[in-house]
Amino acid sequence: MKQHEKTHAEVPRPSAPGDPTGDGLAAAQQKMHELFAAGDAAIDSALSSDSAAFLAANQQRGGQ
Amino acid sequence: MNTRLFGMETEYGITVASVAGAEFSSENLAGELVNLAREKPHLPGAGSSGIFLPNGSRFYVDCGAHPELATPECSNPWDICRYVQAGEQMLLGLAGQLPRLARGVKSVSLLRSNTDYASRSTWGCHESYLHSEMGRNSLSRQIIPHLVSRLVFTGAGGFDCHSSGVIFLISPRVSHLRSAISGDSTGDRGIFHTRDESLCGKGYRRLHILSGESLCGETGIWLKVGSTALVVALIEAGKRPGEAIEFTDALAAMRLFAADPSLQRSVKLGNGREVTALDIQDHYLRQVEKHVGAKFMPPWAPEVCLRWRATLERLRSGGPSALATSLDWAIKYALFQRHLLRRGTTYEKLSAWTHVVEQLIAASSTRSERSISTAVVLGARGTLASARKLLTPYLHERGLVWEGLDAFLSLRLELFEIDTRFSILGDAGIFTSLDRSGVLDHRLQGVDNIPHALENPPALGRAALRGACIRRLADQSGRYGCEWDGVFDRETRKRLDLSDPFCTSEHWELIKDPRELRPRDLDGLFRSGHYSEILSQLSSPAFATPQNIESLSISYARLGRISEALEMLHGQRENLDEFHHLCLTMSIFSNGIVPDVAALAPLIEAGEPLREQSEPGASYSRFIFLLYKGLYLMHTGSFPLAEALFTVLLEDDSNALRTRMYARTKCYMGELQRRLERTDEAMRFVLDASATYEAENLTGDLADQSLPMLAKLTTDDGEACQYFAEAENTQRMHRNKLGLARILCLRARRLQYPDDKEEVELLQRTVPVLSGCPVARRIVREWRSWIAPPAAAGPTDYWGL
Repeated sequence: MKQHEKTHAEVPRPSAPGDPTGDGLAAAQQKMHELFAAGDAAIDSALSSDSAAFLAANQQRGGQ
Repeated sequence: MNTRLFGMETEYGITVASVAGAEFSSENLAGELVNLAREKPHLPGAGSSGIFLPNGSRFYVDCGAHPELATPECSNPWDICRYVQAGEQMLLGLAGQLPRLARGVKSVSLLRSNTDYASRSTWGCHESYLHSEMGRNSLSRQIIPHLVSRLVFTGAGGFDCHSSGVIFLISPRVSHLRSAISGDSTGDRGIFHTRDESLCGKGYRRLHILSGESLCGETGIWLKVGSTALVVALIEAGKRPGEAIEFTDALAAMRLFAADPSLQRSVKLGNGREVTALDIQDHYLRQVEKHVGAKFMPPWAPEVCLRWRATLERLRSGGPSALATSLDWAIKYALFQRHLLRRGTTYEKLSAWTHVVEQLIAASSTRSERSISTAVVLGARGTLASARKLLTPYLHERGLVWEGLDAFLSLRLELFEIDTRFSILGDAGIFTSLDRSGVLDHRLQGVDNIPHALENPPALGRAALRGACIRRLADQSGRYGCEWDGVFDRETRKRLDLSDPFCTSEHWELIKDPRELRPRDLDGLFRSGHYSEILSQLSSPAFATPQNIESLSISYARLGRISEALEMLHGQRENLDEFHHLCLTMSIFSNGIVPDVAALAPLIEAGEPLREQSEPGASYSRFIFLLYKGLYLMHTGSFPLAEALFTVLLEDDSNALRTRMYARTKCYMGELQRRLERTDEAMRFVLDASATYEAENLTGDLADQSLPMLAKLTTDDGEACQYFAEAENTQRMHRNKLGLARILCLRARRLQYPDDKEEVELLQRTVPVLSGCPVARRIVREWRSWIAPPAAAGPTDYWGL
């Protein structure tokens, strides 16, 4: 149990996941705004100019 | 038991960015990742493929050429997250080394996902939960409703890859499930998998779940394992948490829930009650909460209940946007929604286009979305025109026009690309990018110290013993092998018994069945040309048995270690038939950069009387003897005799059953025809051999034999370049220096390619059979004339290579 005890000594009671701790709705909206801004940047930076070619080049085979 | 043990197996997608013209098979890439991991402390699988690592995990290549990591047995959900992340860190490190190893590889990406939009295929992320003996029927009935509904927090999010349109699914894996209960893991996959392989001793069973998905966020992984382990604990304790939830069709319910990101849709149960996925989860959670302090519950149960409860409440009150920064599917749903807005559309419009495209495809003759476009539809006649007429009002009612069809089809592929890129491990992945931006809150306190998890096993359970043994014995990996339930010492024929999943002390016992000591995949490794791997696994003298001797001695020979091959064969002289021993010796001398004709001559002379006296059952030895005699005759210029011999061998139907050596005969015949300047005949034989090698995954022979021959035969330089590139990459991946030297030399000659001289020189100095080979020495010495043959030499002269 060493690892388990060590881990849990540091674990506080969980708040709700994704729980905005500020003023409810406004904080949630701010979070979504930040997510969208970061998402736009990440997608714009990652997306190729030819999605069909990208998907074809990265084709996978079925596994389990 | 109040200590729960569980683990997770994750198959990863693998892709490569390469320079133009270079091609790589996913088998080679995935295999090479495992080969690179062999440079770290490890023990090879004793009876299975791949390796076990000092942190107790297993790394191997699974079907479909997916690299797969199985965590060690963990006793709490924090550790599952830690060991998954540790494994991914290791994978990233290994993938980063590949560009230096394989020429033409620019980068290798690993995908933490389970579906592919181009091939419409799936691969797995499986969970295993240890439990004590109990009826499997009861287990399936009690847990299926949990598996059906837990996707509200375990879903990876994505699109239905079987649809010709765009359908968002909370859990895309669901579209690949075919039944509620099944024992099949690659075709007829079920929600509940009936595999009954405990990997433990008596009294223990393993629930194996294959309906889950690979997740990027910690919250989803933690909740998936935590909640399911608690439900298993309840069932094991004799409770019946699924009793009130009886589906008339569990798979239909799961499909309905998966396709409903609003989480509002309900299914009618057998008792007539209507429930949503959240209702079912709430039901399970209440059962667990009722027993949370019971002795059979693990100490972390209250924490899982708290987060589980909070998650359900937030989803119920706020829908997916309430968890759009922590759960995988909710993050994706929000990002896609946003992306649609940027492209001037909505999920609702996509849904309408999906309906339209599906109707058009049903009316078209090709049945593929690739044949559909605005121009095709507007210019269509016949059934497609009728469909257009019927669908036009439907489109107009939704404010859409046919001119928007191309944009929809293009956006569809764009969304698929975004989803694929979301899951890429490391900096290139969109999830990683979001995480680094600090906009996500999926992380959990306690999922920390990943470097520790990379090197050390969990403290509790047999993984601790396994990990300690691997660390201690790793430098003798030829002697020891490992499995989930034991470590095997091939020299003393003892086994460390790990069949008790909670064992805490080492107990070694004598192995009664020697079959436990032989890797099951030796033949597979040999046939696929992994000679280095064979020697790393089987270098112990305990393996030098008559059954293994051919694979072992030829593996040494294929790597240019002729004297070790002969020494190993000599050690078995007493145990082998004299004629067979001689044939294997001929085989060894035939494996240099060119056959050693001086060594073959006396063997042929000594072998003729033995062949005549050989038993009827020695037909394989006779085949080998005549094959290498033919090779000798060809290399000494006796072409008609060689041709007659090869013809006899190829016309003997019983030889055709020995596919590998029969294909080899075709290759030698092809080479002979090439030397006789009968190019078409030569090509026919070599292409035949190549087809066999490819069909039977004989990658080593493909790279050693048919690919370089095809390169010699084709008149198209571009084709020759590709053949050489494929062969070169296989040899590099397999660490076959002799094979690599031969390919580099042949390419230099065939394409007048001068750049590899230094590498060939280095190989010539370091590979024993090359340093003593007159032809190899001459090539290095006369490199300029090797790469610029005089016209008189003609296209057939390769100095015997």
